[in-house]
Amino acid sequence: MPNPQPDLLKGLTVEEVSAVMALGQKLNLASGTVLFQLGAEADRIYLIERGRIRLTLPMQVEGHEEDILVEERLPGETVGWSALIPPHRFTLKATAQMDAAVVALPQTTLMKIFSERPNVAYAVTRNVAAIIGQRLQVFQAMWLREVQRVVELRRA
Amino acid sequence: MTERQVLAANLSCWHSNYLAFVGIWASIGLSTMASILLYDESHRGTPMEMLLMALCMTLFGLAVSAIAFGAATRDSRSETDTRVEHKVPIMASRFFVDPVAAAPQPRVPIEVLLAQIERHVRLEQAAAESFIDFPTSESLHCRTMSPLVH
Repeated sequence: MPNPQPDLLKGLTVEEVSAVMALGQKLNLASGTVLFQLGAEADRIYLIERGRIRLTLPMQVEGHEEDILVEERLPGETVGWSALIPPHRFTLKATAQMDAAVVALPQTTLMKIFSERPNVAYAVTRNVAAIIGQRLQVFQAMWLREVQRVVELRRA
Repeated sequence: MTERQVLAANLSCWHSNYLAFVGIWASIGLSTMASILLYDESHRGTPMEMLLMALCMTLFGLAVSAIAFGAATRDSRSETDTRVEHKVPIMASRFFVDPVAAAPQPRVPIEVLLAQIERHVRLEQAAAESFIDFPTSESLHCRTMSPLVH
């Protein structure tokens, strides 16, 4: 079964997709492997080929710091777009929830191909904007729902 | 201790003080009257003797009354104080405390709590994505089945 086209590379031709994918390195991750840590330097962006990646943030639960699920990413989706956005630091922790495979695209080589092929840069930038925009809208709605609950609790 | 009980204790204290106060003045008056009567019955002393007798009786009555007053006020105050000290619990201010949060919650194992948090996040994310697909006020504020909320 062929993998779906990665959301990061939508709008590119087959040749352009192949050119970008050729820059990457495939990584096989055992369940529980940490792909990147919160606050680490974001020098690579990852396209998920197989498995599931958990994106978490630390939270204090009963005096212990626990990784709380923020998002989950599936095959065809992208994690680590901080590699393309300054200040190039990961704002979440990514862990393989099950055996997974990802393609790691180094930031430096991506920037090189972007400068050589502006149409690729344009399409990828649009896709990154769509990923960020979707996350922003989801978290905006989640935040408002929580505020609504706080208000209801206060008024009760 | 309720406010009503504290009020009753205070009223009891004021009542004891009032009785002691009346007792002092009654004893002074009675001793003065007694000395006058004794003088009238005997007619054997001079006005100076009558005055000294009245003074002695008054001092005696005053001393007795002072002892009674001291005993009455000491007992009532100490009783009230101990009652207030031991029975009035120091209530934490609950004005800004959420009554739901203040109520003792049953202890949930951390694994269960983490699973509940994760389920809550998934449900909230699904609700938020549903809102993005059909952005209306109803879809934004649709109720959740999350155990963290209910």
